[in-house]
Amino acid sequence: MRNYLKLIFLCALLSLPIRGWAGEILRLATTTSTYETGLLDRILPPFEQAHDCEVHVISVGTGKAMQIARNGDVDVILVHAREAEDAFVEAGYGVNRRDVMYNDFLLLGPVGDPAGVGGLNDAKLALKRIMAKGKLFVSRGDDSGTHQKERRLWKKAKREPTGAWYLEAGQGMSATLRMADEKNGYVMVDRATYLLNRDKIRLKPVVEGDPDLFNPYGIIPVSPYRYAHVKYELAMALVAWMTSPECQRLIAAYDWKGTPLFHPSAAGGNN
Amino acid sequence: MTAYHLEQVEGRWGDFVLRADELQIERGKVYAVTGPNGCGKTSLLQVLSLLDRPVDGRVRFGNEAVSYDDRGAWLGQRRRMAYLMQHPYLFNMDVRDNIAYGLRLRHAPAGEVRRRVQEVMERLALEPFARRNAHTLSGGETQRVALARTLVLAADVMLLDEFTAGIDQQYVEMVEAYVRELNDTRGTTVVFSTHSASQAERMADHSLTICDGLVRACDAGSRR
Amino acid sequence: MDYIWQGLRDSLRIIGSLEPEFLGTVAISLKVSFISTALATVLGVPFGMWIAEKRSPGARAIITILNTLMSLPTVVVGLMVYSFLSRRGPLGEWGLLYTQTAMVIGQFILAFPIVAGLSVSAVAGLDKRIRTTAVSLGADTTQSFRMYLREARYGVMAAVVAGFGRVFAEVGVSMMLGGNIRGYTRNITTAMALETSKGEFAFGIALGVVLLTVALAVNILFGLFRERSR
Repeated sequence: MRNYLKLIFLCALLSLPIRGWAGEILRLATTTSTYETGLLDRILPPFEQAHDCEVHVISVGTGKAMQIARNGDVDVILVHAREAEDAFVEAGYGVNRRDVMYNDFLLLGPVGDPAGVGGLNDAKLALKRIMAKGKLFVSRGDDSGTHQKERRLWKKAKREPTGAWYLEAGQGMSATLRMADEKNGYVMVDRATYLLNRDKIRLKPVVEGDPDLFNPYGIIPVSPYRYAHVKYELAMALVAWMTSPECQRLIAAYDWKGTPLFHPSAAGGNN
Repeated sequence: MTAYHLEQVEGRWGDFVLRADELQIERGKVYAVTGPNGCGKTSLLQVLSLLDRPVDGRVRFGNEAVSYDDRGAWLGQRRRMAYLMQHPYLFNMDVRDNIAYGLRLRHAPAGEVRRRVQEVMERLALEPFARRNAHTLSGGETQRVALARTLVLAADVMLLDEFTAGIDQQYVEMVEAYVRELNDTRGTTVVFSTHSASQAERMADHSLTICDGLVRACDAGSRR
Repeated sequence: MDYIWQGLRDSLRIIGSLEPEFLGTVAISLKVSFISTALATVLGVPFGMWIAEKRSPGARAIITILNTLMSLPTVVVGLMVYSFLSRRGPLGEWGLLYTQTAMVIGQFILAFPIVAGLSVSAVAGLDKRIRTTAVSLGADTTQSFRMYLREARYGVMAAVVAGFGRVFAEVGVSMMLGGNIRGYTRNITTAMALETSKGEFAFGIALGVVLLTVALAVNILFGLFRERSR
């Protein structure tokens, strides 16, 4: 009986700090490809200090990030799927979209390049060839920015990828990359994730430099007209910070073994 | 002085009926309840313990009528008795705590509890098990601990349902002697049920026999 | 094989040096699971003991349901609670999604059937003579009930420990409702999922060691309590 009361007491005691946090919380949904680079750990702390707040980062695919935002469960998103972003803003879910940075995608393939796509600088053509030869291709399959980009390339190539050679991972960027590496398949990956994992995988770049592989990132606050509860002002402050010359310099300086992972692209940024 | 006085009492347990037209139990005496298996010995003890309420008749304990509806008074009367049930259950705790349980219920001071538990354990040769968990004991040991748990209460009335059942022969004499001693020195009233005519003979001043559900008193006891 | 050894070595270093991130993750796991188990205990134990005493067909049906819910898939609970807590859901106003509170709610739902269901069997396994024995020795109603609770204690503790083991090791609810936010809702299991997807084994292994240790402790305690309750 005494133990029982003790349990109730402890439970009540420990419940307190759950809701007791004092500062403001800004919820940011972002893509796994950004999150896993660690860039946010570099650029968010100065913002948190300046605004006495805590940014809670939820790392999911771009599609999921937008869905969470559409439900009003986050205040701001940092994503990379330009067409979907415009549709998101148009539908009234987000306002004041701003460019933040960019890098590019590249196509990786196993050693020996069984589909013979190495050296091409046309991503569509490379995909067509992989499909024609039925070589293994691992897709994100999670409606992320990378997945959306990949699907648009298939569309441009006028192909519908189906079959045993086409695997949909349904996971984050690093996990998908790892799967492709384990299975010796082709995979599309953003440059930042590739650089971070370069030493851990055997896959090599086969196609890069195609303008179609351009990968811009944008930040969009959730519309306060749609959801009154969102922290719009704090979200706008984050937009202002991300596009500020100071933060843009931080982005430009963020590298992996000497190679920059992202290039700043905000208007007036240090580009 | 009477311990119990039962008048026109009728108790029912399903189809079974137990009647006592006129039964007087004297204070300070030892009574044996005898009769064949299933004749209602346990039922009589249940009535005397006040745990089972007769459907009819009057039960007096000491000078007062038993008040089953006044829980406080009923508890006070029950606490003047100590009842050893048939096939006793020991709590999942050590032997010492099992024996101390009834005293602690009555809020006896810790020192007194310790002293009395110690004494009864010595008398019933239970000291070797003092710290053992009661659920690890053998049948005979369990019975002795349950008996100790009842006797330690030093109640006015002891109701013992087959109190030597399962006890090893070597301890039966020790147990009987202790019960008798409590009767002699404290004037405790004892009502026990038994299968053994010789035990009734050895222990009891009076016998109560149950025949066809009817309780009868007869002065068959030969002690003293 | 090399990278496994490397991972093991690095994980030992992480455990040995008690890195703040490592300790923080473990602390979040312990805190959330402890609170959810405590809630499940406070509500589940009395409920289980109460329903176990009932003899009606309804009560038996509820016990069957409890036993079924013991193996409730975590992702189902995650989805269910998510849809309630999302701003679009009926409880959206509370703004609880992606908080520790949301994780506690999800884990509570996982733990409750286990704690309640095993409390039912803890009580069902008790000797029928407990309360009458207490009464025969002079206990009043409260005292005899207290003895009944005391006799059930080991079985109940086993139930609580089993509930804790379930929520401590689950990943679905924590990931879906907590959102794996670093330093806030990232617990041992979601951190391990993330680290593995990143190909970073050392941190994952270090956390795995903690998870295994706790699981071992839980199982030992569970066995001990089960043994004692006999």
